[in-house]
Amino acid sequence: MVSVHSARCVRAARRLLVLALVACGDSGVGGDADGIRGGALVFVVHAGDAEFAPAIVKSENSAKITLTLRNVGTKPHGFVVDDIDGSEIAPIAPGASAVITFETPDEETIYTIRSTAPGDNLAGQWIVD
Amino acid sequence: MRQRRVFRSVRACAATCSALAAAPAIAEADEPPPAAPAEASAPRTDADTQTVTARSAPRPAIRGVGDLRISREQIDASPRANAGEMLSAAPGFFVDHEDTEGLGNDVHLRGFDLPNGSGVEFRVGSIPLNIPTHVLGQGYADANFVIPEVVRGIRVLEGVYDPHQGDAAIVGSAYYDLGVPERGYHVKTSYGSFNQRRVAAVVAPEGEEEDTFAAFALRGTDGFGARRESRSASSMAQYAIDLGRGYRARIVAAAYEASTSLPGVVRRDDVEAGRIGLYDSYASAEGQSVLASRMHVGFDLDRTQGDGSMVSLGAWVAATSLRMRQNFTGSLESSRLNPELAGLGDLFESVNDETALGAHASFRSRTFQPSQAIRLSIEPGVYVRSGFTSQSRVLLEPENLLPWDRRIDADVQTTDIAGFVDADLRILKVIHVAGGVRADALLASVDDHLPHGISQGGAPDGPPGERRSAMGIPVSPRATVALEVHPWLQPVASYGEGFRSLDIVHLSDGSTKPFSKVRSGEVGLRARSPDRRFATSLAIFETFVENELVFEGESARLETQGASHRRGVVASVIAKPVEWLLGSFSLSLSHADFDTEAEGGHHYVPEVPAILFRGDASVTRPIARVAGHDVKGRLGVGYTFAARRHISDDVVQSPVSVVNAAAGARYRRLELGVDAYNLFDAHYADEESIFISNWGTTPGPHRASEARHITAAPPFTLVASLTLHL
Repeated sequence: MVSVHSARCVRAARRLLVLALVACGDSGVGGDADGIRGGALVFVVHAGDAEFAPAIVKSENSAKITLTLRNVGTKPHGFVVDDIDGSEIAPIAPGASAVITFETPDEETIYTIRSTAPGDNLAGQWIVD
Repeated sequence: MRQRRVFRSVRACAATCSALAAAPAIAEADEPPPAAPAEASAPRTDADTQTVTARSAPRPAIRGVGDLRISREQIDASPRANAGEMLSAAPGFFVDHEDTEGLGNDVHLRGFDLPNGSGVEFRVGSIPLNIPTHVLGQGYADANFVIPEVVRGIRVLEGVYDPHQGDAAIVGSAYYDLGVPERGYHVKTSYGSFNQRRVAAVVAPEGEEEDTFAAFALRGTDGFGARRESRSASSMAQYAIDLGRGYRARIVAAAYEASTSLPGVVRRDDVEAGRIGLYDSYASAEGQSVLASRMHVGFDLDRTQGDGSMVSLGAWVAATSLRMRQNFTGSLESSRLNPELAGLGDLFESVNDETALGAHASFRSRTFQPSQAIRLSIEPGVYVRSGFTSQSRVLLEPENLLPWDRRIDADVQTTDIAGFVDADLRILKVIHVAGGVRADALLASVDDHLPHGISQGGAPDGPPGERRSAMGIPVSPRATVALEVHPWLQPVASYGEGFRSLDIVHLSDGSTKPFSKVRSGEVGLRARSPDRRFATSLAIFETFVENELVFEGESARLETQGASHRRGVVASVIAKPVEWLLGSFSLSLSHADFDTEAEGGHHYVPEVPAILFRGDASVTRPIARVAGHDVKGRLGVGYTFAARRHISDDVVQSPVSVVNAAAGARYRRLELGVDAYNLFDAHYADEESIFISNWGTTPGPHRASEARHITAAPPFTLVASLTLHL
């Protein structure tokens, strides 16, 4: 009986402690912050000589992506999202297209898109939320 | 003659209580607010009424510590701009102050942040307001069509401990009681900051009961910043008639329309760098607005018998329409239907048009007394609601409002068939048990006009025209045990389960659980002084929610997330030490986090203030005497303090401290008043969220980055009013 009472006291104390801790803040959580993930999405990115269009692409984390890169410029352009495995497209000739599939990572952040063609300054952003 | 008047008064009291609770058992379910003798549910104040009521009605059951009736006097203790804000008069409730029209207020209660009222079950009379599957979030409710001048009181239930509480009662209920105690003609005109103007007229014919009135209101404002102009019109009428032999009928009708421009969010980094003002709007954030309309008609028929039994029957129909255009993120979206389109602007247009009808019926038995020690009454009842909804969600180009992508396009039909039994058991005059069980058969079907895959959040992978359906039956036991250890002290313990319908458009076919359950428990005390001038309460609560709804800026809507739970304490004091002074104070400490917490840390439910204090104080008394008539003065102050509001696991919003004040004087038929909101002009965020956007203050495309985004709360606002009582 005493131990039951003690356990209740401990539980009550814990709860009061939790309430008190509310005022102290706490550490954050990495990875998936919004609890929404997955899905299958299709994107088309046009690579011109001056920019990617769109320059910003957004998807959920852990989503299956099918991406088509179309070179609408006059010189070779490639595509890669830094730190996302399988997102690389080797430079393709003007007028050509290439398709890749990959999965977005769990980490929700903004990743950098760039061209894989040497000396090419094309850049963009891939938002994983 | 005297006896007939007494019976009429008894019936009026019973019907009024019924109106408060929208179900007959609740006519006895609650006591008047201890510190407010002239409270809302007592339309007759003559001694006959009070005496007979006390004799014929058993002491009402309470449904938890937070089962309260908020009187008009408490509501008027400090300025409240609309019917939604009136809820802030209830201990534990925090309601944001909106300057716009057409959207429900955000409510904070017991560790919940409830955008647009979702999670609080709203009723006006017996008409439920929540829309189970709304495109902006399940349980969406907007009570601001109610004209404040005809609100006689509000019954609030904090927690889900009453079997009468239906869909959307996640954290509690609010039942508006309509009536105009002061008979005659009333015309109120107001004018204030930001060219805010309002006219309200109320007709309450002499000789008719308090429940009978007609009212009309028009309001317009230029808004306190860029793109905030709004206007609205509301009309309400209610007629109650005593049919004799205990029968009483009431019909209520209401119509409302509103149009509002919205400024959108501003990034905190831009505000702090001086690139944009807190009350400004980005040049490219054009096209945001709200257009809302609704119409409700309800009919109730009650019969109260001399033995305390009561039969109640009611039906209602409602047509609601909401079109909201909002852009939270700038231009980050790509088309799901046509991958060639991207970056044309994230202006989401969400449309929800619903026609719904419903009915309720219940029978409260007389009180059985199998022995001297036991008294029991039982109330079985039924409730039905059927809704026919057209939902759409499209992306528009801000410049020309042409659609360039579609995310939702569906016809939804929902049906809720519920049965409940509610018992009121008293043992030895000391133990009071109230509660029962409720079962709701929820059926939902969707005719999805978009290709399969879109509603699952991805690219199209099937033909359009898919039909999906789901059906499930949440069973919800609810009970409260109160011990009357002393006439002025009541320990109370409650347990209850509630539910909220889920977003049917995103459910898979054949789902057997189109709802999310909530389990809530509390222990506490209610105490009051023998003269009923002081009352206090203390509740320790814990609530588990299976499925959380959280606002997501990226999608501009409430999104379903994982399970969560809250625990905390709510304490309140209401005092009326002298007839002319009223004070109401409450403190709420809560902790809300997701169950899927990471190791070593909490994953906080965002936007929930862990510390919430609310205080209202008012003085009402004669201040002068002119030509043999009193000049009655009124002074009220309301103070709100909210702190420790997480907007992410790492970021906590600055504390909010806001003072409202009101002053007024009435001489015979003339009344002057001044209401001041945010008296010390605190500049703070009404809502603040962290997400990625690419808003910018210079022309051309901008890079995306994560930032804190603010929707500003109104600054100092002054409104003067003149009322004629004829």
